[in-house]
Amino acid sequence: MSENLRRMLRKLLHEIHQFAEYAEEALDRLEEEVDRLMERAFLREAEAIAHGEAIEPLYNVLVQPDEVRILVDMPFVDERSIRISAHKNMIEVYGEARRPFHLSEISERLTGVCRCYRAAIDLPVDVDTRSTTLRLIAEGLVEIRVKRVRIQRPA
Amino acid sequence: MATLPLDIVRVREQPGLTIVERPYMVVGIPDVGLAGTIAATFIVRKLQLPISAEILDDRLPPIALLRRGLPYSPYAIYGNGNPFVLAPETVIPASLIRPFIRGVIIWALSRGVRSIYALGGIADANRPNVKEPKVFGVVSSSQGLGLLEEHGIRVIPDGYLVGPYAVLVHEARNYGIHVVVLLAQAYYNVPDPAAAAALLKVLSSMTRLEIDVGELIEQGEKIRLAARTLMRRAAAELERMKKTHELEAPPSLYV
Repeated sequence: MSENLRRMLRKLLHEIHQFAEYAEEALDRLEEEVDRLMERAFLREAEAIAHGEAIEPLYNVLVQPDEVRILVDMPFVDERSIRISAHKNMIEVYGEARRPFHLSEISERLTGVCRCYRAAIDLPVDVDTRSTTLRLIAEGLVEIRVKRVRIQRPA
Repeated sequence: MATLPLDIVRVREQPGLTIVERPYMVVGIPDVGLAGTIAATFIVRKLQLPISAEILDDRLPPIALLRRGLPYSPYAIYGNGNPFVLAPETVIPASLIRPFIRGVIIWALSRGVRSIYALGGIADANRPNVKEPKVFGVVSSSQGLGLLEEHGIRVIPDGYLVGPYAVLVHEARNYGIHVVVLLAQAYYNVPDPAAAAALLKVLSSMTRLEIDVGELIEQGEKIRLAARTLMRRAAAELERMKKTHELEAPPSLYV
């Protein structure tokens, strides 16, 4: 192997090594950022709870070939008060509690009163905003179904 | 040839622990729909089981669980073997699952446990249409298959198991302990007390544990509300350990 080729290989290996180090550092930074954002989300909710504001329900988004199914968990919600507003790729959900309940009923360390639920749920696909349906699964657990927008292919 | 020391977490036992004959263990680790956690916590509360051991490790999150002003590890084992119940009150970091599970198995073996029943959920898109969730089973050895059959539990024949229970069934084979994993159809990231109730019914039929699960259904809304923060943390950890892999078919099924 010529000296020139050897030198080029050494340089290449050095650059690969540098890139690997850079990638590892970038991944570490990304992981830290994700953790920080998640922690901030938990804090925001805790703050909202402390002020007796609406709390964000847990939800699950399932994308199927023809429709999107969204399961929203709102314990103690008054089902007659549930309002849904569909946008191109987002669903907003609002529901009032059957009775305002003190969060201290759940944990002595929580304060505040929950009066309602509110969520703005981003969808990974576009939906037909006029096709929304709502179904009660169990007390406080609802399923929203909305049809996906069909993309017309040119003939 | 030198071997590396086995990486395991430390288990600190409460002094003066007395253990029944032929003890067994129930495990409920935060997972899909928190089905296993809700079930395990329910056993602890209904049977008023005291803490018998705590799992400690410098790498676990620095959290102390306060009970009547006293600090405990949120990773605790309860009871005296009839059953022992491992019911972590927070998630196990994905990077610590192996040493955690190994530490628990080694401690359980040292206390005479030969059977572990692990309770969890299996995400099912059809769950909203199911009133009474079905329970499926996975076992660590062929002897366990007979037990599942005897109790009418459908075995998951092919597919993937991801997370703590995947490690549990693997490690169980290394240590010669029998593991039965019971998985109820559950919502992926919504706490599912009905799935927990289904698990406990099967567990009761398999063991000598008698427990009335009516309260789990009656108090469903309250339980779901109380478990929401843990569910959020568990869902984030499930993402990290690529739990959605369980929904895929293994390559051998394609051909």
